[in-house]
Amino acid sequence: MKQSKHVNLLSTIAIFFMILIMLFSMIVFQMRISDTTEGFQSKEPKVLNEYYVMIVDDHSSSFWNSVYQNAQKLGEKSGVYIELMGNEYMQNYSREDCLRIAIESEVDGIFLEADESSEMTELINEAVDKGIPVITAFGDNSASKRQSFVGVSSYNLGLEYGNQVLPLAGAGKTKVMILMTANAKDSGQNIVFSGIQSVVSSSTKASRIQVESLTIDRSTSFAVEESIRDIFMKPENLPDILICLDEISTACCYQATIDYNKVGEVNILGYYDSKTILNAISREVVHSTVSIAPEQTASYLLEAISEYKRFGQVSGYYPVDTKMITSDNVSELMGGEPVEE
Amino acid sequence: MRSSRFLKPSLQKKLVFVFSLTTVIVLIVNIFMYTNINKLITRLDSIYQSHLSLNELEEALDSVQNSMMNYLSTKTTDVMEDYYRSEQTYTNLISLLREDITDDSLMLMERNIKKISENYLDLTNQAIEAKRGRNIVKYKARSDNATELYHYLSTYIYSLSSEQFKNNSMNYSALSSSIRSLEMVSNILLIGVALGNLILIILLTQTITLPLKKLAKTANQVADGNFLVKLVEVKSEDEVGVVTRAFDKMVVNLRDYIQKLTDSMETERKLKERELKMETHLKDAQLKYLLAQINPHFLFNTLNAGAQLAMIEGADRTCQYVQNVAEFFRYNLKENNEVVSIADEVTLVDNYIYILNVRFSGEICFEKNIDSSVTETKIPSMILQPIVENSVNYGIRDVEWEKRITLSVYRANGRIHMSIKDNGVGMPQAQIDRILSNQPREAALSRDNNGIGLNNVIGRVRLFFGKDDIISIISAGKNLGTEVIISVPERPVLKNSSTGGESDV
Repeated sequence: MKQSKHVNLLSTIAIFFMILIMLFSMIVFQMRISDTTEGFQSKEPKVLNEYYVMIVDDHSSSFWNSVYQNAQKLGEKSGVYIELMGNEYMQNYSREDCLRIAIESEVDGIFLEADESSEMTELINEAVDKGIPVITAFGDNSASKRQSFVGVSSYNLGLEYGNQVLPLAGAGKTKVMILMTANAKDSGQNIVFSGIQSVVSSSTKASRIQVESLTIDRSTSFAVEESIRDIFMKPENLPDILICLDEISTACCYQATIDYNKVGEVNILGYYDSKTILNAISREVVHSTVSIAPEQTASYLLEAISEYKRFGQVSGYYPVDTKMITSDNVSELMGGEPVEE
Repeated sequence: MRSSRFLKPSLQKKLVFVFSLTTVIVLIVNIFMYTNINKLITRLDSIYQSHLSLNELEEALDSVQNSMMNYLSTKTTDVMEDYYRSEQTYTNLISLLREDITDDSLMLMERNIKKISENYLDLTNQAIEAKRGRNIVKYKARSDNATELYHYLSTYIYSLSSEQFKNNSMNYSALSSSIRSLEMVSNILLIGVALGNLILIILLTQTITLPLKKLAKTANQVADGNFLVKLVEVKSEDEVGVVTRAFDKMVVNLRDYIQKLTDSMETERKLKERELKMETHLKDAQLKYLLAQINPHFLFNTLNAGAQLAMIEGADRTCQYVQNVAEFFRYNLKENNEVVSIADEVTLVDNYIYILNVRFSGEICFEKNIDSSVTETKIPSMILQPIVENSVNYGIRDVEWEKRITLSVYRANGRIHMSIKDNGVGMPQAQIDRILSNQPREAALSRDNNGIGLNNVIGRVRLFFGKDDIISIISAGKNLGTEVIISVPERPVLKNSSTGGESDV
C-alpha cells in the first residue's frame, strides 16, 4: 500500500510537472510573440489633418532642430504633422529643391528659412498660387507672396551687436569683422551689418573702429570652417572683434580661437545659445551671443499659419525676442550646470 | 482514494492514459505554437503587404521617364505605346499608395510619392501632348520639369525603400531573436514533457513488473515444493492483478488438496497398521501355539490312533480323554479360524477343562452359564481358552480351597458379555491396570501355559472390535478371586473387510 501511494504521488507529480511546463512555455511563448509583434510596429499610425513641411538651410543646426521639435509638439496637439525636410537621403537638395518637392507633394503649409533670391520668390509664389501658405522664418523673401515672416528684426539685432562692440573697442584701432555666411541674396545679414554700422558710426569711437564684412560662400561643403581657419592663419588680417551671424560660424570661430591660441586677442560675438556656445561664453572665449527662443519661434510659426488658414490673412511679421548673453548671465541659461571642461 | 485510482484501471487503460496524456500535451502545445507563429506571420505579412514592391515602382517610373524621353527624341508610335503602357502601369502602382496624413514618416513618404507622381505624370502627359502638337517650347519645358520631378521621385523611392529596409531589418532581428527564444522554449518544453513521460512510463512499468516479479518468485517457491508460501498481495485490478489472484487461488486450492491427500493417506496408513497388528498378533499366537505343539497333525493323528486303541481295548475313559486332547489340539489346525462362534470357543474351554481335570484328578470345579441364543455370535478365535488358562495358572493353581471357575455368556444392555470368574488369589488393582494398559508382561511365557498371554488376547479383541472398553477385569481383593468380562456388541461391526469376509466361512 505504501508503495502504491508512492507510485501515485510520483505519477501525480509527473503529470503536474508536465502540465506546469506546458503552461509555463505557453505563457512565455505568448509573451514573446506579443513582444515581437509589438516590436514590428509600435502603434497604429495616428491619422492627422494637415501636413506642413519645414525647409531650412542647415537642418543639422541645433537651433532649427529645437524649433522643429517644439513646432512638432505643438502641431501634434492640433492634428498637424510637421516634417523637417532634408532627411539623410536629401541632404544635397537645396532649399529650392525641397520647396519644389513640397509644392509637388501638395503639402498643406510650408515653413521656410528663405532668402531674397528671385528663384525662391518664384517658388514661393507658385506655392501660394497653388494654395499652400508659406511662412518664412529668420530668412525672408519680402518680394514674394509669402504669408508671414517670423524672425528677429535684423536691424535691431545689428544694433545689439553694435552696442556690444563699443565697449570692446579699446584706445587703439579696432578692427571688426562681420562674417556674412548667408549668400549675398540674403538681405537680412546686410541689415544686421547696417545696424552695427549705424551704432558704430554714431559713437565717439567711430574713427577708430573699422567695420568690414567677409562673405563666405556656403554653397560648397565645409566652406565656412575653412574660410574661418583662413582668417586665423593670416595674423595680419585677424580682426579684434569677430561677429558671427549663425550658429556654425560661431562654433568654428570658437574652436579656431583656441586652436590658434588667440583667446583674449579676438573677441567673438556669436549667434544662438547652443550648449557649445554657452560653454564658450562661460570660459570667456566667446564674449557674448544672441539667444533666440525656439519655443517662441515655433509657436509663432504655427500661430501664423493657423491664423492665415482661419482668417485668410495674417500679420506679415512676428518678431521673435532676442537676448544678449554674456559671461555675466550665462550661468542662468546653463541652469547651474557645471561647465564642461 | 487516490491510490487505488491509478491501480484500478487495466493495463491497457493505464497505457492509453499515459500515452494519450503526453500526446495531448504535445498536441496542445504544438497547436498553440503554430497558431501563434501563424498569427505572427500573418501580422508580418500584413506589414509587408502594405509596402508594395518599391522596386516595381521604381522600374515603372524609369520606364515612364525613358519612354517619354524616347518619344520626345524619336516620336515613333512604338515608343508612344510604350509610354502609355508604362504610364498605365505606373498609375496603377501609385494608386496602391496610401495618402493619409499620419505621424508615420514612411506613410507620409508614400503620400508624397503619390502626389509628386501624379504631378509628374501630368507633366509627362503634357510633354507628350505638346510633342504631338509640335509645341517645342512647351514640351521642352514640361520635359525639364518632369525630369526634375523624376529625380525627386527616384530619391524619394530610394529613401522610402531604405527606410523600409531599416524597419524590416529591425523586424527581422526581432523576429529571429523571438524565434530563437521560441526554439529554446519549445526545447525546454519537449525536455520537460519527455522527462515527465519517462517518469510516468517507469512508474507504469513498475506497477506491471514488480507484481510480476513477486509472482514469479512465489511461483518458484511453490515449484520448489513450498506450499506454505505467503500469498502474493493483490494491489491492482489490472491484468496482473487478475493473474496474481488466480495464482493465489491456485496455491490455496493446492494446499487444500494436499492436506486432504495427507489426511486420507494417514487414515489408510492407520488402517493398514491395524490390519498388520491384527495379523501379527494372530501369527504370534499361532507361532507360539505351533512352537508348543510341534507338528500337531502328527500329534492329532497319533492321539486319534491312541483313542482307537483304547476303544479296542475297552478302556472308554482313556479313549474319551485322548479324544478330548485330540479335539483340543485340532482347534488350532482349522483353516481360516480367525473368526469363530462363541460356541466353538466354549467347546475349546470344555476340552481344556476336561484335560486339566484328568491331569489334576478333577480338582477344578467348572461351571457354565451359557445363553444359547447368543452362542453363534462371531468373535476372534483363541480368546476364552487363554483367559481360562490364565485363571488356572495364576488364580487358582496354588489355592488350598476348592478351585472353581465359572464361564458365563449372557446378553445385557444390548451387548453380549462373556465372563470368566475364578475364586483364586485375586489381582491387585495395579496389576489390572497394567494388564489393561496392554503393557508387555515380563516373563510372559510361563512354564506351563499354552503360550498365548492375556495381553495378546486383549490386543486382539480391541483391534477386532475397534474399541478399548471391550474387556474389563474385576478383583474384589486378595484371595477373593478374579473376573474377566468381555463385552462385545451383538453384531460386531467388522472394520476390516478382509476379516469380515472370512468370518462368513
